[in-house]
Amino acid sequence: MRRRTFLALLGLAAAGCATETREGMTLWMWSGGLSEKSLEEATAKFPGLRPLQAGSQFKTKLMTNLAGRSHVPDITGLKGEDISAFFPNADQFADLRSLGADAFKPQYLGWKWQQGITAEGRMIGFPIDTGPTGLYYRHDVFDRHGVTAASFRTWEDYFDAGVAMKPGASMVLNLRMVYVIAMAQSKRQLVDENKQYIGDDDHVRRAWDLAIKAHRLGITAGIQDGSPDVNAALTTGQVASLIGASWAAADLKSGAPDSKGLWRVAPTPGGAANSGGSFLGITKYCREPEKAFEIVTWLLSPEQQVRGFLDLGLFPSAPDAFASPDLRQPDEFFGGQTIFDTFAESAKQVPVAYMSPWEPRLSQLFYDELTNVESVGKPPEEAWRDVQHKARRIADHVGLT
Amino acid sequence: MRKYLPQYLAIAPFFLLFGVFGLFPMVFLGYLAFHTWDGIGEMRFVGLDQFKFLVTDDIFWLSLVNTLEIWVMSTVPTLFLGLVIAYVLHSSVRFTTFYRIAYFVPSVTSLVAVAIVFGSIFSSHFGLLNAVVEWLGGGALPWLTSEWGIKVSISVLIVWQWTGYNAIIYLAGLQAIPSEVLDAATVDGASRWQALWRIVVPMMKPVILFTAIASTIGGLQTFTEAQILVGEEGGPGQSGLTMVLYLYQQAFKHNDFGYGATIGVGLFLVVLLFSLINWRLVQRGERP
Amino acid sequence: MKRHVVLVLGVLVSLFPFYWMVVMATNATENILKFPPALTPGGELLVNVGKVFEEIDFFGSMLNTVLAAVGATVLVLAFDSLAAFTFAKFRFPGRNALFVLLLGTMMIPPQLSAIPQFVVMAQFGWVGSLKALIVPAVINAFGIFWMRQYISGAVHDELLEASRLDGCGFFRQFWHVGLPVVRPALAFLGIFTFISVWNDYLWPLVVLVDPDQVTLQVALGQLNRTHDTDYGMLMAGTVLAVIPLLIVFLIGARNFIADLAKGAVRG
Repeated sequence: MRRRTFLALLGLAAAGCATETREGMTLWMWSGGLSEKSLEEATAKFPGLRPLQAGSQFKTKLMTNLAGRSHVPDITGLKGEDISAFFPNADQFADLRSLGADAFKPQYLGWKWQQGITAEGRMIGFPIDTGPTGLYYRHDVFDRHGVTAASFRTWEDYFDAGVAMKPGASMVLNLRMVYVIAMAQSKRQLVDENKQYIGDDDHVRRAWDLAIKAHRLGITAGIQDGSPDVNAALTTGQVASLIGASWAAADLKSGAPDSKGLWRVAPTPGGAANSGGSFLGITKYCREPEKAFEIVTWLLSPEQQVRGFLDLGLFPSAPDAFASPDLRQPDEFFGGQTIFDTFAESAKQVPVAYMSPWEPRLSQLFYDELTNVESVGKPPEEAWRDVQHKARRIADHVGLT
Repeated sequence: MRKYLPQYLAIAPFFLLFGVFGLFPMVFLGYLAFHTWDGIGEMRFVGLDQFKFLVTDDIFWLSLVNTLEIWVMSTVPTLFLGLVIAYVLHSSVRFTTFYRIAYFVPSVTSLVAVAIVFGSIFSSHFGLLNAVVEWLGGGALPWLTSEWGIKVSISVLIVWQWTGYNAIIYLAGLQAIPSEVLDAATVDGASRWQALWRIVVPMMKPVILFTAIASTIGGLQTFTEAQILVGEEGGPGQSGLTMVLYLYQQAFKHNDFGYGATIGVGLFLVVLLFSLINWRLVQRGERP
Repeated sequence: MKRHVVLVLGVLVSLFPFYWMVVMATNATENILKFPPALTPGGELLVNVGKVFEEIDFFGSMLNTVLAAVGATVLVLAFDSLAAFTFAKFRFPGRNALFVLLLGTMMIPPQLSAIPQFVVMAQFGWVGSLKALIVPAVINAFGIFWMRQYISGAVHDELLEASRLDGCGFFRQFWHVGLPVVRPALAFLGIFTFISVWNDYLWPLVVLVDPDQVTLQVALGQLNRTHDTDYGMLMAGTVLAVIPLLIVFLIGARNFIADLAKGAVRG
């Protein structure tokens, strides 16, 4: 290898790369991210469209191809928790607004639309689905303890009911869930638009304290997300409620099928929030961005979003789809309740929040320390001091003020 | 130089490919460790900044300690059990094919399946293991929610998956020992176990050295087992956060490839150190 | 008898998760995830297998995997055993330095080398080609190290010396003296090269870009969804993907047995 090529490789300078001939229009998505039927129809409608699905490690594949600047897809899925991490490199993506996205804006939820736009106003993500939250609860367990979910306005109401249920059942799965939802209800996150770390401000402390309060009241089961204990505890009713996004209904149905008919859904205590949901972006390597944009808008139109919900439970980001009678079906798992309406109401009220590229990384520290409090018995004040110390270090490391 | 031509020719195809596919990633890693890079944008040279951050990074040191603990708890039983099973298999006559297949199966069992199975085994409230513990009269143990529980669980998974693999390596090694040597030992009145330690182990030293080094390098890079049992964050107290898991999290989850590479260099040095120690320990006493 | 009891206990522990795979492959997903889960095989195997064939191109991707695994195994056996033989039995300038360099590659976690590897593949224009799976597999430092260790113990210097006096050149020594003795080691190396290529997930996922060209593990990975994974189907596919490995192992393992008689010739 000649020295120059070697250095070019080392620096990953664009020289020499991306020389491959591109054929057709590639679209990368994780499995279950877009309706198969929609994709099939789109492939027929737009000749040359070639969808590729990857199960796990989707982001690793995308990042490797972006880093290698080769075989980058024309259109790619971007997860909600990842999209802000692409903001510093927004130039890698086509600005959807210059392709005419603004004309579609009124059809989509405002807060969701905003999440795909950088602080500089470049739009890199077009809304796929959302994850409005609700309170899933065991109707039978609530009744037995004389608790009514309809009376919950605030977190305190919810916690009080949890205390009333002791020791028969736990109200809360784990501390992390309380913190995550409380933060999702906040307009401000851990870093603001001016690249300033605000993770030690009152709004964060409030979410943290709520989680700690649940811990002190002894109403949490301390079962971590993803552990097999979750399904068992939800089946037996040992844990009587769960705050989660609309998509958690599918997990509940497959994980706790024997509790069919015993669940109901109520609005989230403390206000609406969002958890999850994703976007489609068009990369700068796409040679026909106009055509790609046409595909994206077709795939994510309100009509196709109805399909996405029916096939995969992807909650629409276009409110027009909310009125579809196909979606507003009573659900036997939830005792015939039309839970869709509850989530649709929540979806309209989610606050607009600025998500910085560093949220996932910094949030992780808070989750870890809360888990330490819960599972390892770390004193909460010590945990708070540690999380602030670690967050500050990372903030300095990545150049925040 | 002419004299060595056949030797160089023999290793040439390998090292030619090595130069292209093996050396470059190494150099790249070293280069990247001195830069910040989010995987897409420009790399920026930052000198030793990331190394300074590394040595003062509590999470890195925690991941190092976790890795070493899990490594010791998993490698020692794996190699010991592997040797014993190989020895017994080597001398037993009936059903050998069945046994070989059975011990081999864990190393090809899908990790998705393994994740589900071991999750249900170690589950604190409803797991199989705790059901047994309670049936025996003990209290439920927090396998996946306490510091030591997590480390033990990961180690058990590694032992389960790799013991058979090592047994097969030893089995291949045993084939190189002429059967008369073993027969002669037993005729001399040595017990089976004495024969194992006095004759088999010394004769298998090269193979044992291989497994020791290979499991040092593999063990210090423990990743998948931890990831499937406790997730990418390492579980409660981050007790399952190994060095590679931390590196992977920084690079691919948080797009900090520069710091990921710095952790990689740290890992490289640790692996090198322990490989050397191991080499010296196993080689000690061998004829020069 | 005692030996057999120990062996059988070990077998039970070894096989349990595999048994569980079969249980999952033969049950509907609801019965797998519910609490308590199904504990015995059910009758849903054909349904699950049918769904696998419907969702992914099972045999097409299996063919890709076989090509990649066979290609890599042949190259590894040829190049790596030759290199290992040289490292084990000959002294030449630079030997130790080269060997240490080789071991150094083992110390780079594969998760980190994915990006530079990919860059190289892009330069060669090999992205999306099975070559990208086969050729780098030759850089099997574990394989060379393994063969070197085995050869150094099993091939006796006196034998090599004798053959040299008989006028055997280097390559004939390798072919006539080295290879016959190291058959068990080669079998092991072959089996495990084959398996590691067969089971690799991350690298083929990254480097293969055409849906028609994916390997079996990547195709199976598509069945693994973020939510709502059909575990019955996933496990049915997984069990099917393991069967060829068991066959390869059986064929390869023959070389571990019945070699004892030849031991006499060696001594």
